[in-house]
Amino acid sequence: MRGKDLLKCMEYMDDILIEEALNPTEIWHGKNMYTKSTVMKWSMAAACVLVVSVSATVFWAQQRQIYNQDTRNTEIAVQMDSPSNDTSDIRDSDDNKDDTGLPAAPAAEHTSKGVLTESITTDTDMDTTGMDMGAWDAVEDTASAKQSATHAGQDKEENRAAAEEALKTAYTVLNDYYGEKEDAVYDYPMPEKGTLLCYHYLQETINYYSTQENAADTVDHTIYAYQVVIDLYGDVETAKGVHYQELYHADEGYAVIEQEYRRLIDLGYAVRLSEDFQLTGTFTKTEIDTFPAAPEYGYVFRFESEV
Amino acid sequence: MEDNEIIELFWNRSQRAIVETDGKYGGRLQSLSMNILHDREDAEECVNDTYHATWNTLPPKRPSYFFAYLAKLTRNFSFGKYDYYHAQKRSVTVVELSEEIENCIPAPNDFEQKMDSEEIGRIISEFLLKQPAEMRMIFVRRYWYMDSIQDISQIFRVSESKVKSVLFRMRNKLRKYLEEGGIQL
Repeated sequence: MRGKDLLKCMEYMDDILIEEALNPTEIWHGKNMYTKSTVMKWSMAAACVLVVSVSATVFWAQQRQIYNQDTRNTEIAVQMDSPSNDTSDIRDSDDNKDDTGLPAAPAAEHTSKGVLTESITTDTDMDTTGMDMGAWDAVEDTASAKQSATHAGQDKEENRAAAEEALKTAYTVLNDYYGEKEDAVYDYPMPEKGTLLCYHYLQETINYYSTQENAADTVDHTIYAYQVVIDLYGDVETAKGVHYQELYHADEGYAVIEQEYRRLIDLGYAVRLSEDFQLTGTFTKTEIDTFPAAPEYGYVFRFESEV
Repeated sequence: MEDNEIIELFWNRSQRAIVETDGKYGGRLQSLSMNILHDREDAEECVNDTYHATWNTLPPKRPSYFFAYLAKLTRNFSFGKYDYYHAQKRSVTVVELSEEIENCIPAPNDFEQKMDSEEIGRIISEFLLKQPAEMRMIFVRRYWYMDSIQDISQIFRVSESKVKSVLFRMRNKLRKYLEEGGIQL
């Protein structure tokens, strides 16, 4: 089949589509007007959600601190009131788990371990209010399971450090807009050479999640990364002269795209190049903010769904 | 006058049906035909053929989308006339659009199934209905109404490069969609 045949096949296109495109101007302006109210509506909704989230986060963090403070006080009180019971409990536990079978030493050790454990709890309370509740519970569960082991203190500390590190280094990849998209087309200028232009929905998403990160930085260590499509703009020589345009549209641009891909790979960025020379990558906000744009190219970062 | 009232006039065999249709959609049909033929007289002839065919088919038909029904007839007549007149010398617009839309045709593969025109039209519609409204409208304006890039950019109030970009991506998406469906054109 040739292009003309395909054009003719369009004859069988759905009537709805034909009618829909009949008066695009009216629809367009209607939609633009609608879009403004939609933007307002969603902005207000987002603001409300943000306020509620921040309030809930602060409330939760305070409750958590109060709870931990009470628990700590109770534990200290119990230890001060009945130290012998405490150590015997621990020793009993040790007897089950420790093969060394040393009866006296562990008691002294655990007395000190108790203090150490307490101190760890206190430290953890101070600096893990921002940790994910489930993850923190997991850390606590793991730690309590190991509490009676011979090297409980060390294990717990290592475990806590590992869990915190894991939480700090984990990141969530976002590949599309977080909300409902508007019925509008954004007309973007070409990015100037040496600059990076983020399309609307990507920028909105970055703003949204960075606000969340900042607002809840004591609650959630999740780092957000963005799965983006990178459009590269540069000079292309044609019969009519040199034109600054999107390189993806020019056969001559493929070599440049590949070259730029290699440069970004060398710089350590998580970029990929598809068979049809579409550059994509996964970037954090910081990486986008500090992106080393080459002076001879312009860059567009966008979600795949944005055109 | 509403479409269903005009259709009612056709059903009542009233000559006013043609006048009302021409008054409401004549310009658009003429423009559609002109986009293909680039000849005013030929375009007028195609529009008249459209009215004639509509007169002969209403009744028994009662189209749900009256303009789409008329426009399909006009487009069909225009392509027929185009083929008749331009067997040797091809229209610049049709050549340009043919070359553009050819990018959507997947490479042949043994496992792919051959489709008839109606089925292809249905699959393209299915694809377009999954796309954002503004994207598919630009696509339809270009490849169904055969509007120029400049016209589309004016209609949608976006730059020409934006229109080209949207069309480029839509063509690539359509090709991928057809390839994934194992469809051979």
